[in-house]
Amino acid sequence: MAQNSRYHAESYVAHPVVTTADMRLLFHRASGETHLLADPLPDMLILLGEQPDTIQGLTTRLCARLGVAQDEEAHAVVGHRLDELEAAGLVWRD
Amino acid sequence: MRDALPLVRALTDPASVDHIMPDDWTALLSIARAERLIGSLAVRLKERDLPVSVMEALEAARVQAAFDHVQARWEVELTRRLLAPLGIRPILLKGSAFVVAGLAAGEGRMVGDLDILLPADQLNKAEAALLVGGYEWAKDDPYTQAYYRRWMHELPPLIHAERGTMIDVHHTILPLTARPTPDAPALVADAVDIAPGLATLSPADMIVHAACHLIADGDMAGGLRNLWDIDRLVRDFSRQANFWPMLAERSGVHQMREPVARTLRLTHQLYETPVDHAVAGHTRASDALFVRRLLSRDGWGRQTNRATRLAFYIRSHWMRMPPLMLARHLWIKARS
Amino acid sequence: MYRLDLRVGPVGYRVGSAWRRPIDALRRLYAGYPAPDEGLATLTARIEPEKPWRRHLRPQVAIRGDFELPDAVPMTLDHGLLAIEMAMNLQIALGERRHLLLHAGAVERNGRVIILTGESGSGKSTLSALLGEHGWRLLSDEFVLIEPGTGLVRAFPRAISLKNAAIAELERVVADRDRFGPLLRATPKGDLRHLRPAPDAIARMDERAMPALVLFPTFGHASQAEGMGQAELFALLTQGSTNYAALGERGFETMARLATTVPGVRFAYPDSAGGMAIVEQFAAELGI
Repeated sequence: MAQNSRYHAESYVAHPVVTTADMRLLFHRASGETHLLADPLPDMLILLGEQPDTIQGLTTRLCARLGVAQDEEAHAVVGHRLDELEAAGLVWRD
Repeated sequence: MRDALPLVRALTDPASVDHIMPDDWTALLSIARAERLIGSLAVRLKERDLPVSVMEALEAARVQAAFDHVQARWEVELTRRLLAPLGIRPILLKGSAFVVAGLAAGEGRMVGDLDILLPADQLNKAEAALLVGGYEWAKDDPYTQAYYRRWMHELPPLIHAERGTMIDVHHTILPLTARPTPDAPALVADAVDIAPGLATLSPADMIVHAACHLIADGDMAGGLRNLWDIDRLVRDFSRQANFWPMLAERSGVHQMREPVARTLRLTHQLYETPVDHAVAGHTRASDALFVRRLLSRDGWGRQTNRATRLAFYIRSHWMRMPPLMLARHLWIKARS
Repeated sequence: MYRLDLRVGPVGYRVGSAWRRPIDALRRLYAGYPAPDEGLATLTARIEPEKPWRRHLRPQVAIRGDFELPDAVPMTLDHGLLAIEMAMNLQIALGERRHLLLHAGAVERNGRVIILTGESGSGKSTLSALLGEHGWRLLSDEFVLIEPGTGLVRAFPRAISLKNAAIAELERVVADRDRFGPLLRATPKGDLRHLRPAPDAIARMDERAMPALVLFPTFGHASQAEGMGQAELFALLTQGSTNYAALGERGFETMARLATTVPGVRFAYPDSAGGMAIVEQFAAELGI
């Protein structure tokens, strides 16, 4: 089920974001919580905000966006990061 | 100040604060905080020309209320995400319902734990989903679990392990031990959708539920806030043509005619709420006792009239439990 | 109720006590503080008997007010002044919503502020107090208030709570004995003595100033300093704030501005003289 379900996120530009040298500080208005995001979390949120996607679909788009090779490892990393974002309430599944 | 009447007056008639003295302001702010009505007061006085320090204190209350509302909405959303895949539509109760439904009762109101109502046959599924979703029992001893499951109108309280937030899952609105027995299936059947996957009670049932709280559940502590909720709800709902006949009918269906009538008389007496006297009934001598109890606070925000308070505490437990069970409950409470 | 109204920075207090003695001590300690603006206190702190029928017989002093902790431990009447101070602190820790509140000390010179923060025991309070006697204006030894919008620090010069060894240290440098409260022995925090801040800290309590540096001191180690990244500074400051989350987006903006415009430095120091020397060195580098 997890393989096929689609992940959603709010539009990234809706969040107040402050960029520092090492991380991005994101204020999530819906929850009132602040998140410190390291790469590639902001890119994942940007892509999901544009269009909901499966893990597979998001991995493809993310690798293209960052100009890196798409392999098993990339797929696993995206899966883990999505779990974290889901636990933080920043993405959700339909 | 000898009682909380200035707070009641400021809420009902904001112009009443225009000429009060500095000391009266200090007392009014303390009383409003103690009654958890400072946010509602801030909303009511927003347009008035107030001393600068008072405006700042009320602005702080608005900031707090705004934060409460963000948290309340977020808890509702996370609960919806857990339950929607199971086809379960939670019926929001109390503060969360007022805020998410955009009712005047929610404006400036502090919101605590999330309370939801579910049909009894969805309880097990919902409980399992919440436990998987990170909630844990606040108290996991066998007595608490057995007590809630056998006699109460809700599951034992659940706390989210990471967020620390609490959810009360109800299947009816009064303990099963209470003498009135509200018609839980009717509450669910009449619930109103307010957003995808979310509902509230119908207007009339919302009033009945608020009356349950005020009269039957608790020792009237914080009663001014509950009554203010009812005032705002009645003013909102009574614009609907069939509200009063509906309320008369529903308070009968839920065996709550007397408590609803008493609640309406009290809110009319304190907040000048327009009520239908056919539903509110005639003033009773004991109404004055309730009013005295509701207003018992001094200018330092301290509760006064301890004797009346104790009497109301015993009374509220008496209403909720048959005598033998009351003895058992108090005995176990005393030992724990 | 015995009563004293007074203003500390932006906060107009009404303080109430069921007993006379603690209020008299408070009045002496806060001599020279202004009354609330327009005579209108907006925040109430009180102490009263935990059990009303035990007002005289070995009374237990309960810490109460507009904002309360349900499990606050009652104290003995001998420590009544400390109980009042804690009640006043609690009102700010739980109720302040106009300013971003940092659990930190702060001192100002030439219009620029050094914020000293860190866990209790780090020496931030003692160091702030000492700097306040050595050419700096003490803004606060415990709660730093930052104004959203401007990012300026508002002074909140409450009486300083000196604990244990810090008592003798300040007794050595403060000549005016009237500024000290009574010595309270064996309180839950050890020996404790209050100190009224220097006259200029009180006279200038409404002068705001811009933060220039955030320091995280650690007491009792050889001198050493280390900078930190903005994200780390942001995270540490939010952990040390009691109202960051409650301020919502304004809190975020205010905190993010502080963490991205002001450097954060961790430093260790062996003793108070060493600590003050390091702070002076940082100040010199920043041209303060």
